[in-house]
Amino acid sequence: MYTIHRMTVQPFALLPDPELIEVCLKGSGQAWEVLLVRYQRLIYSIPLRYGLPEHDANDVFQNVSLRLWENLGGLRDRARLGAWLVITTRRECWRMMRQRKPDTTVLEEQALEEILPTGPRSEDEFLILERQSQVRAAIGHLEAPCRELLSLLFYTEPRPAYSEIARNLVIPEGSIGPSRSRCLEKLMKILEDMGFADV
Amino acid sequence: MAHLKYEILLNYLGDQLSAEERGKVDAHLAKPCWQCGRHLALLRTVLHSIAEDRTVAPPPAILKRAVDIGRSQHELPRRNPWVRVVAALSFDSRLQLSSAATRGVTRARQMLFTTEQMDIDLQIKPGRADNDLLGQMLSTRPSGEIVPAFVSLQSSAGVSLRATETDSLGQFAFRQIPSGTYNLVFDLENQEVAITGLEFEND
Repeated sequence: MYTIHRMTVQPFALLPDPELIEVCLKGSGQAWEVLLVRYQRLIYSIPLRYGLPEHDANDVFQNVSLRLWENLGGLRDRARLGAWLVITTRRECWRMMRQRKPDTTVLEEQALEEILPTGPRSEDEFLILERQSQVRAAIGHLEAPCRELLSLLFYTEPRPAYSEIARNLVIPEGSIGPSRSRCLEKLMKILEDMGFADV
Repeated sequence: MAHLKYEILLNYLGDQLSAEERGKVDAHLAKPCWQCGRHLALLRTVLHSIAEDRTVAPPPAILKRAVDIGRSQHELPRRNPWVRVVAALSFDSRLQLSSAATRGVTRARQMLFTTEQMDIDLQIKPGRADNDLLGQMLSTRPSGEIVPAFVSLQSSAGVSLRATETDSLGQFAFRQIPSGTYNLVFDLENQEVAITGLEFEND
């Protein structure tokens, strides 16, 4: 598992994108790491949604990361980094497909989506991916007890029973409900600091 | 009344409150309490995001390789100014033809927009309730090289509504566009070319 260097990146972890990008531009490798971790799931999920194999998704991720690095200083709207990443990642997927099918000539709306029928169907789906990536990143910035609790409650399949969660985390079963509320409240605070938008 | 706690909001969204408790929350939100309303909206969005989350993280080695870009690059990213070029309208069939001349001919509207590096040929075909937009980017460079572009149809407020890519001939299409005013934006990596205020009308 990739381990984010919690102690060193923490000062930057809660910065909204525009400020985080500014720190990156001053040469902070830690800020760059935080930025990538924040959007890693958004970038990586798009080629997989389009049905590209894992080795292509790996290449798309690397190419998009490089393009992000190269273009950090020229982003037109740093607050809309997620939208820029969606467009850039879709273009990289498109390039990958072109390399696979060099003779493809397409003249239809949502061309990539038609070539790859499993892909997202609307811009809203990309926005949801962006939010999901940010929420996952925010959960990663919670302290261990909350991080583990929310991961077990929301991201573990099949969903474990409260008794199993209590046993895993060595906490009373009756404290799970109140703890869940406290942890979600902390999560909301982190997301607000990060500039997460609910609209 | 103090602001609503997250536990209450969670139970409200999860339909776990009694009718009386729910009524109190509704009354508090209806005051209105902007702060609690904002918290509720954020909580709803986050819970929805979590419930539908099927995102995948890259393998650790792949993420590390990308993180290393920031360490291995000798130069910091350049602060290149972002370049946006607004294409100029140089031909519009609707302006060229008199109403008498258009009688009985196709209602498709032909337009040509130009920038220093390219021409953009657009054809709007009105349907009964919506419109099709067909277009082609034509290079004005001596080499005639077509740079692939990512094309997005945006609302006049700049919100991306649909997106597509140009093919090997620089062609693209958007179909069934409702009446309204839109921007058409071509993302060419190092610059963006915009056609603003594009009007689509239906009878």
